[in-house]
Amino acid sequence: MSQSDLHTWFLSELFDQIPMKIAVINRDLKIVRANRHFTEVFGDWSGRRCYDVYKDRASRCEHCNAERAFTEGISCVSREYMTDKEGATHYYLVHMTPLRTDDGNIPFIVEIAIDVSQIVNVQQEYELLFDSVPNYITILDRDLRVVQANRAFREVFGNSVGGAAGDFCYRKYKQQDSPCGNCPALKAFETGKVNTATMKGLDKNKEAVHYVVTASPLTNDRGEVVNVMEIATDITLVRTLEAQLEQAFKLQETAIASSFDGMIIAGPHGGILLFNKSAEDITGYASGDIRVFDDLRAIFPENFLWAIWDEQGSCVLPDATIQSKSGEPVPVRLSGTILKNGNGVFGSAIYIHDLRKIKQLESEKLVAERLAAVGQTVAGLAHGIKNILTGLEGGLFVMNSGLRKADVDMIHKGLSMLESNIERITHFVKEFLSFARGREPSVRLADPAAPAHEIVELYKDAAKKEGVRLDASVPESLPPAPIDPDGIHTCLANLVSNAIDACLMSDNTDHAVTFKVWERDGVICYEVSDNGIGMDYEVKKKLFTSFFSTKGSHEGTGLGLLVTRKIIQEHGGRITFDSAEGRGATFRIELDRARLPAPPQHQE
Amino acid sequence: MSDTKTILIVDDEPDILFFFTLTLEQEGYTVISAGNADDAIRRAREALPDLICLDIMMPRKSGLACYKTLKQFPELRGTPVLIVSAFGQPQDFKGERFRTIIQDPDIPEPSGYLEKPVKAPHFAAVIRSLIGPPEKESGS
Repeated sequence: MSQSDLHTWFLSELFDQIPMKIAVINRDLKIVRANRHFTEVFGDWSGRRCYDVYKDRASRCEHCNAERAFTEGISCVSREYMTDKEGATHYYLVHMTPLRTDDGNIPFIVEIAIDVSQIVNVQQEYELLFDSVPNYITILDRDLRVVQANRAFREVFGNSVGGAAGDFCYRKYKQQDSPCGNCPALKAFETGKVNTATMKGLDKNKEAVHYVVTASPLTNDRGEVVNVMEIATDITLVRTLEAQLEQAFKLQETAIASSFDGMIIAGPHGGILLFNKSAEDITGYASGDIRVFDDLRAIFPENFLWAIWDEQGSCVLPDATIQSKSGEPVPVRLSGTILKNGNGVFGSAIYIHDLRKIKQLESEKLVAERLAAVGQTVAGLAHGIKNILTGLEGGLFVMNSGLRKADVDMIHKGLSMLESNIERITHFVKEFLSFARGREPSVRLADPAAPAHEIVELYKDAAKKEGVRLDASVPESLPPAPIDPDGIHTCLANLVSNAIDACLMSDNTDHAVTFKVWERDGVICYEVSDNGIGMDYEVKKKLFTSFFSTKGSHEGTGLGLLVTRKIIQEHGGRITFDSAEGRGATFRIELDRARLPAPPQHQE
Repeated sequence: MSDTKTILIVDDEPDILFFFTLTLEQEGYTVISAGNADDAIRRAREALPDLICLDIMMPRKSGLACYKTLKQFPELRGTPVLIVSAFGQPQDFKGERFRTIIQDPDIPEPSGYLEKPVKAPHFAAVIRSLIGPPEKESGS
C-alpha cells in the first residue's frame, strides 16, 4: 500500500471502521455526517437533530454541551445516557470537539461517543460490594490515613474519612493518638505481605468493639505498595457470648460448690461426675469414695435409687433417712431425677437437703412449748387456788360472824361455804393430778373417724335433752393412721361439750352444734362449730391457759382445752379457733399424716 | 336515799359475794351486788354507787371489758373502782402494763387492786381508805 493509499484509507475507511460512534453536527444541532458504527446503533440520522437521535427528545437538552463547545470553542467531555434505535439505553463517554475554520468560526462539532456501560456496571458492582459487605473495609495511605472506607465502617466508627483530610486509622478505630504497637498495616507497607491482628477498638459511641483485622498491600504497576486495605471482622458478639458463657459457667460452678444442699450427678453410664462439698459433709464420704451410681446404695434407700433409674424417672422423699459413712442415720429431704434432653437420658441427679438442724429445732421448740405450758399451768393453778382460798376465807368469816352474834343460820351458811370450797379443792386436785401425770399416749393404727362416731353417739341424746341440735357429718371411715384413739376421743368430747355449754349460755333460741370430719391433702380435720355466746378478746387470749373457765367456778375446772391442746400436740397437730362475741365459735383440730407419731414397731 | 355510802360488788361466785357483802354491811356501808358484767353495768347506772368492787375472771364478759364499759359512761367515769381478783398482780393494773392489757388510751387506771384471797379486816380497811367512813358528808 502506498503512502497516498494509506491517506485515502484513513480518510474514507478509518472513519467508518473505528469502533466508536462519530457524528458531526452543525450549529443547528443537525447531524451532517456520521460513521457506520453510529448509523448501526442509532439508525437513520439524516436531517435529524442530535437530541432527537441520541435521546429521543423533542427539544434540546437543558445543559447542552454542544452549545458550550460552539460558543466557548473548547472541547468538553461528558457522560450521557443515550437511547439506541432499539430503544435500549447505554451509558456513553462523549467527547465534543469544535472544528474551527481559519477565520475562527466554528461551523461544526465532532461528537465521539464511547459506550462505557460495561465499565460503569463493573464499577458500581465493586462499590456495592465494598459498601455492603458486613466487614469494616478501609484503604489506608502510608501515613495510615483512611483514604476510603465502606459503609459498615462509617456507620460504626463515624463518617469523617476521605482524602488527605481523612483521620488516622488508629484515631478512627481506637480513638488513640499514635499507631498500635502491633499495627498490621505498617507491617504490610513494610513487607508487602498480608498481616493479621486481633484488636479491641472503640466505636463512635465509645463502646468496645472487638475485631480481627487483615491488612493487605495494594501495589501500583511498579510493584510498590502505595496503599493498604484493612478488612476487619467484628467479633464483639462472639466475645460477649464467650464472656457470658464463662460467667454462667463460673456462677454455676460456684453455686454448686457453695450450695448447702448436697448434689450428686451421675453420667449416662452411672459414673459419678459430681459429688459436691455439701454432699461430702452430709454423707461423710469423700467424693473419691463414690465412683459409680451403684456405690450410692451404701448411702440412700434402695427404693429411692430404684425409683429414679427404673421407675418413674424422679422421686421426692420429704422426710427420709440416709446412712452416713460412720453408720449414723441422717434425716434428709431427698429429691432425685434422671436428666433428659432431646436425645434421651444423659445422666441423673440427686439433691440432699440436710434436716438435722430443722429436726433439732423442732424438738427444741416442742420442749419450749411444753415448758411454757407448765408455766401456764402453774399460773392457772395459783389462780384456781386463790379463788378457793377466798371462798374458805369467806366461810370462816361468815361462821365467826355467826358465832359472835349467836346466829345459827349464819353459822350454817359459813360451814356450807367451807364445805363447798373443800369439795372444790378436792375435785380440783384430782383433775390437776390427772393432768400433771398425763396419760401415756397409746399410739396404734386406727380409723381416725372412729372416735368421732363415738362422740356423736355419746352426745346426741344429751344435746337433744338440752334443746341443742347436733349436726354431724362424719365419713364412715378414713384410712388408718397412727393415733391415740382414746386421746382423740377426749379432745372431741371436750370440744363438743364446750360447744353445747356455749349454746346454753347464749340467748339464742335455735341452738345448734355442727361437727364435721374430713381429710384433704393428707390432713385429717375435726371441726366443731356452735352458734352460742362466742368469745370476747380477753377470753380468746386466755383460752388455752389452764384453769381458765368461763363456765362459772362451779361448772368447770378450766382444764379441758389445755388437755385437748396437749393431746393434739402429742399428735404433731394443731388446734385453731375462730370466734366473735355473740356469734358462736369454731374449733378445728388438724392432724397432718406426715407429722403423726411413728406407729409402734410391735404391738405390746 | 339512804345516808350511807353505797358499794357495788361484782363477782360470779356467790360465796364471795356473800362474804364481801357481809363484811361491808358490818362496816356500815350499803351494799348492792351483781353476778356478772352486764348486771353490774345496769345496776351501776341505776344506783350510781360510791365505789365498785370488780372481779376480773367472769364468764361471758370479763371484768376488764366491764371496766371499759363502766368508764365510758360520763356519770360513772369518776366512780372509784377497786379490782378484787385472783387474776394478775397489783402492777398489772398500773402504768404500761395496764395500757397493754386495756388497749385503750382513754381509760383511766383503776383506783386500787386487791389480790384474792383477802381477809375481811384488810378488805374493809382498803375500802375505807378509798372512800372514807360509811356516813355521807353533810350537804353532799
